[in-house]
Amino acid sequence: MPPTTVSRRWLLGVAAGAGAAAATGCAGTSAGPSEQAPTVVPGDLDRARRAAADAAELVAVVAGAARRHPELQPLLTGLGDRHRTHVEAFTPEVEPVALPGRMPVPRSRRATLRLLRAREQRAAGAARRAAADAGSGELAAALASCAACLAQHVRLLSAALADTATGRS
Amino acid sequence: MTTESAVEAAQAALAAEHVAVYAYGVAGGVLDPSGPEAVRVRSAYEVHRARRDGLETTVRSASAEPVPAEAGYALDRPVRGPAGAVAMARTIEDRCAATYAALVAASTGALRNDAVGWLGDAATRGLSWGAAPTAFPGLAPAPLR
Repeated sequence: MPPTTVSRRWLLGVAAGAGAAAATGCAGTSAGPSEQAPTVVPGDLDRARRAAADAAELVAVVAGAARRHPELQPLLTGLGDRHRTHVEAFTPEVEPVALPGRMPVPRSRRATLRLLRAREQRAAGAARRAAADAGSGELAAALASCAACLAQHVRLLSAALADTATGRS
Repeated sequence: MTTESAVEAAQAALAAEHVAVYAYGVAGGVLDPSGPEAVRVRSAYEVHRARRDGLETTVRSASAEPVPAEAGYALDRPVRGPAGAVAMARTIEDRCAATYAALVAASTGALRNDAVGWLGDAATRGLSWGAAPTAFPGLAPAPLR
């Protein structure tokens, strides 16, 4: 069985509709390349929009945390990059998601890490639920994979919190 | 779970679980039984064994014959010590993640829910073995055409 694939253009095709997908020459890919344009399953466009909005909010809060706590940048740069990848993947081409403005960030490094972890956990839960409900298998896999990435972030932030508790950083 | 594609994806995941059970067994054999890696290997072994059993039940419930385990598997490289065991564990979780993502795409309902959870577990377990975090664990970037 070939690997399940994800591409921004595929998701854009879903978001913009089968006609737009055909026009851009991209195709659904869960079982390998297909000449058939993807079709929009009811509710899936909203699921993709919501995932993009959640990722955009995470981009903003991670950027705010990095500004307030530059010592966390080695950790936060990777988180932010992956959130931007999620924004790009889930954003419908016809209606770009605006990044939120500056988000409030606690002065305490530990409180900031806890805030980030809570936001990542919340977004992971939302992505898991959206994956369970998605009509399109391809979108379900992308949302489940996004949730898995956010679970990795939770693990990394928990490790950073443990390090601050033991004075290792 | 009744569609042909869901059964096929479940069979692929089951085949990956057979390899995982075998590989974690090999890894356990080269580690100090009292060391922290051995504890994590035993935990991973139990997790994958339970998933293997569950997937066999799932496939049978779809009136299909579960793909059997092979007598042995050719691993990517010899597992000679802790570093080799950890590297193999990373590979195993990565390959399992790919089959779970495919199962999410092909299934619905309870089986999809299970696969969603397994994908998250494989991603975090791989991370614990030293894998780099990725934006889309278990998925490969699609070629643009």
